[in-house]
Amino acid sequence: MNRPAAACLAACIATGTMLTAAAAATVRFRVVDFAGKPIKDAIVYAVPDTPLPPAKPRTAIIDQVNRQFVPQINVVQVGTYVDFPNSDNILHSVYSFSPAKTFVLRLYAGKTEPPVRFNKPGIVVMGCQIHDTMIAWLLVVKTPYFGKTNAAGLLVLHHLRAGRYRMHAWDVSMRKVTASRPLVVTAGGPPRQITFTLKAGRMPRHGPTMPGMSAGMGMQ
Amino acid sequence: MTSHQRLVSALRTLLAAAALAGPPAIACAHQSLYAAMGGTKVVARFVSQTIDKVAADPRLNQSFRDVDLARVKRELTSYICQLAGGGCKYTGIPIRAVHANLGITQAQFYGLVQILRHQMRANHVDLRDRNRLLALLAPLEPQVVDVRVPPPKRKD
Ligand code: HEM
Repeated sequence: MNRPAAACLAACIATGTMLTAAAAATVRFRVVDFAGKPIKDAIVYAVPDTPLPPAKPRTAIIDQVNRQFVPQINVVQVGTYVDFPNSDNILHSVYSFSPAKTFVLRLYAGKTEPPVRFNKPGIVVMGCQIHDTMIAWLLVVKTPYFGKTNAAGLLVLHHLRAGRYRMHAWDVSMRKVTASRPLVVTAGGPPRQITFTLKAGRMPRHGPTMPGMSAGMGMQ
Repeated sequence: MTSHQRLVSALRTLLAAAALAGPPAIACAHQSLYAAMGGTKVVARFVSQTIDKVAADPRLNQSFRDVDLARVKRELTSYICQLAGGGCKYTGIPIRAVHANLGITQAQFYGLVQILRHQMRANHVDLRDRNRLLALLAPLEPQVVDVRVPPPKRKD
């Protein structure tokens, strides 16, 4: 099962909002750049206008493999714990200056650290104090409906319950902002397809160096 | 004996001799080794040059891949400042933890020491003070060379 579907299922079950097939909808997203080329690893998430009941906290994993974060681009729901297992087993020192979460986590060889909880929405840019080419992004979103596009720029979100949403799309080159638009989901009928056209650029190579780099990201 | 082994053994003898010599009688009682070497201005310079040379040397630099050299220079300068009585408080990461599982060999350790000696000399640190610093660094070898730490056992 792919991650967005799993995330939604778990959240839906946990919050007791599992809907019958008829009352829930599937929305397909396509994320492309201005030249129409698909954007891989764009994050798409749908924030319902009526907040959902709080979800049971989950744990996501951002590993350190061969002096890189894996995955580099991540999205979790507010309240999620993130584990940093450090498969390299050499010292890494993960840090963030982002307002959504400021922390330093020393990952010593031979030791495990407890996961870090992310309980504020926003974008968290992480680096390693030792290896300055390591960089990862984590979007912390107020919804269980989220995912990352595949190589074809596609993402399918299932089980959205009928109602009003604001859809967001983000690519790493956009840094602090997301593209967003409203969407009304109606249950039943054929799946909707929505295309986001983003201005996508190249990925920054170096870790976050400026405190407050991600200040003011207007996430719902 | 390969030329490298010869170098290592020569350096070890040198370090041992430096360690035995202890603080020379003529050293000014009030001046720390750090001050005698020229303080932060000089130490930061020879540390920076040493790290640049080590990181550029294919025989020495395998552990330096993707490493933020500016941080290493800053932390190593502060470490030496503390070690040499310069009055700094080292706030970096413990030496053993930093070098764990980096696969640093004894030859690489002495390779770095050798470059450090040259750079100290190039910055007019006198022989006595060069040997005093090397004598303080030599005992760190077991915290740097071939430090192996098994991966943590994970619960899940
Ligand atoms: C004289 C003995 C040595 C001392 C006192 C020393 C000290 C230090 C210090 C203070 C740091 C920075 C710690 C921090 O970031 O908080 C560091 C980092 C590092 N050292 Fe050394 N070092 C020594 C020998 C070596 C040798 C021989 C090598 C390899 C040839 C080496 C490779 C590294 C690397 C790759 C790092 C950066 C990686 C990391 O910080 O995890 N060191 N060292």
